[in-house]
Amino acid sequence: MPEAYIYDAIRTPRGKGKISGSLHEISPVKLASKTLKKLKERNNLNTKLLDDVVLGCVHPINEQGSDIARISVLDADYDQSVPGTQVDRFCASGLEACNIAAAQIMSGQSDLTIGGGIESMSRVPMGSVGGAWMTDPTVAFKTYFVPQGISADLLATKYNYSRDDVDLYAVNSQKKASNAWEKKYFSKSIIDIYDQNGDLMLNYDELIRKETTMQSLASLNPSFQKIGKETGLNEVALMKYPESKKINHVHHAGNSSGIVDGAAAVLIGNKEIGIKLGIKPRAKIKAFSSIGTEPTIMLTGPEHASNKVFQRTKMHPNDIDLFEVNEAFAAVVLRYIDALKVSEDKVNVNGGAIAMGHPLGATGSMLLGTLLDELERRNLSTGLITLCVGAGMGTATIIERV
Amino acid sequence: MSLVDFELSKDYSYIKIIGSDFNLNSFEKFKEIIKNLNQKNCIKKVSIEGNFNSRLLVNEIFSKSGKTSLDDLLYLLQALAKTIEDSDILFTANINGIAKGPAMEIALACNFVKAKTGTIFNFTKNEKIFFLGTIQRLINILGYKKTLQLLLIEKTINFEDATDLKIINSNIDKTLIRNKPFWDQAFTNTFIFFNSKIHSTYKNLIPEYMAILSIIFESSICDYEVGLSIERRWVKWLILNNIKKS
Repeated sequence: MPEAYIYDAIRTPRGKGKISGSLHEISPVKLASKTLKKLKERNNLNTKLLDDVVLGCVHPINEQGSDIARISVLDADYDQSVPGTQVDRFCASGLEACNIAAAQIMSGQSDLTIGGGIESMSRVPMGSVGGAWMTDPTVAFKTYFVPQGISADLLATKYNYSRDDVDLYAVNSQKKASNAWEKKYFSKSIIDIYDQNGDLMLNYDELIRKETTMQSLASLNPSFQKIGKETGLNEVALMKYPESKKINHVHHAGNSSGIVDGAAAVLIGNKEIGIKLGIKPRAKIKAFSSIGTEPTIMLTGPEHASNKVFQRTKMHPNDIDLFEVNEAFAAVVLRYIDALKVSEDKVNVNGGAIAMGHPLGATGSMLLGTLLDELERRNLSTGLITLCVGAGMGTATIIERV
Repeated sequence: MSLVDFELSKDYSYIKIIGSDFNLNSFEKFKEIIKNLNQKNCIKKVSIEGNFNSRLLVNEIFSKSGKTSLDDLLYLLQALAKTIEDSDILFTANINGIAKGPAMEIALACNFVKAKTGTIFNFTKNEKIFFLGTIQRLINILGYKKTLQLLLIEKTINFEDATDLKIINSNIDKTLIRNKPFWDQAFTNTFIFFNSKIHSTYKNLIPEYMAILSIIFESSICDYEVGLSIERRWVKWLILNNIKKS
């Protein structure tokens, strides 16, 4: 089986996903095509050699609709022979896109591909895509649908994570992210975003709050307490998890992932194409897997997806040098650390989505690049990226430096 | 060339536009007048009248201004219209004849636009583009479809149509909130139509039309203030584009 090598990984900075955000004025197709252009430029890429561009996008409607991957390819002035496809595995879409791009290489059907993702949450807001899961009563009843925030609080309740536990995690995420920015750990992957006039729009993750403390987080009200109580969502969750008796609402804006705009792209190919193009592989995608788990608690997918990929590769968590576990909510990462019994020192060493934000369709591919940069910086070998996914899924990918 | 000047009546009841050619001094003078009026708490209503058939001295303003950066200049020009909009004074534009160029844009920033029969609004691009936030105001008043139609196809509008469209002789509601999101099948179809119409007709040789289309497209999901910022970026793009060409 051919190996899928990672040749390059880049991402945009993450802009606040609201009208005051620095990337609000740029359309998602432009944001995505800027990453593609940069990838081409950095690798002196002959785009005729590209077999496919796979981009994750969770809200593929309006400006993000109609196969944004192909449209971004065209906007980036790639050769017209390059196709593009958009994929949606909710929050893991960006990683899934890389996995699919890698699978094309591994299966021998492609030589060179790009995986990545895009989400402009300020321009195409969460929820705007609709969906049967939360709206069709025959599905919602059967699956005990609750929104992710309720699931996160249910997860914290089930595994006894207190408000202090999740807040402490969030404070550390902010500190680690600030430190990483100060020390330029992200600089290898970040591309500055300019407008059509060459004016700088954004060159840093603008959500980070370095000054966050336990005290400042303590002043925030739980985000899902009111809605959980008033709309019956707590009851629905407890119908599924009667042993929990009561949901402890611990998550709020400060210990949950932020809403942001961003895009990422990862260049993946086989060994021969690297030689042909004169580019050096940085790592290989060793294995990946996705899994479905119980959808009401929804957010335990990372541990199960990781175990699945460990089984397949006959690996063990101890074989992993660094983990990137998407910080959708603080409890997700805390549960992952406990479930896999991994050292906290190996997980999200440069912070995560709580500090920097979670541009849904792009995050997975961003995490892949962040992990690769850090493995290189520390001269370590193996890393695992995993994300919890809507409707109870999880996705995990193992990369190994070469 | 007849440089624009402004005459403020002694009782502060009206500002008269004299001349037809706007340069930077014209805008600065107008801004100064508005600023002074705003400082006089007793003034409730001011009429703007005179010659609304104007043009912009593009090169003088954007190439030879020398005083400030292009960004600052564009911001200053939009701020001028915003000063009128945000003022507690009720501004009424009294138009008689042709309205065109910067004076027309000033008129559209007023609370109330009065016009006499025979008035014609001319939306042909005034050498460069509308730059005082006019596109955002038109979108708010007319919606995106009619704005596109007006700026790209019809280009002039007579008294009767302007009345029907509530551009004139109607109280412009400043609290008007843009219906958003625009995005629906009609929005998609509208842009398909205008993109292809302009592309096939002008072969992408008129950057002003690309800018107008892009401003309206990109600000389609944005609020008014962000729309103004997008408008500034595209006006700058046009100017830089023209400087490059020349």
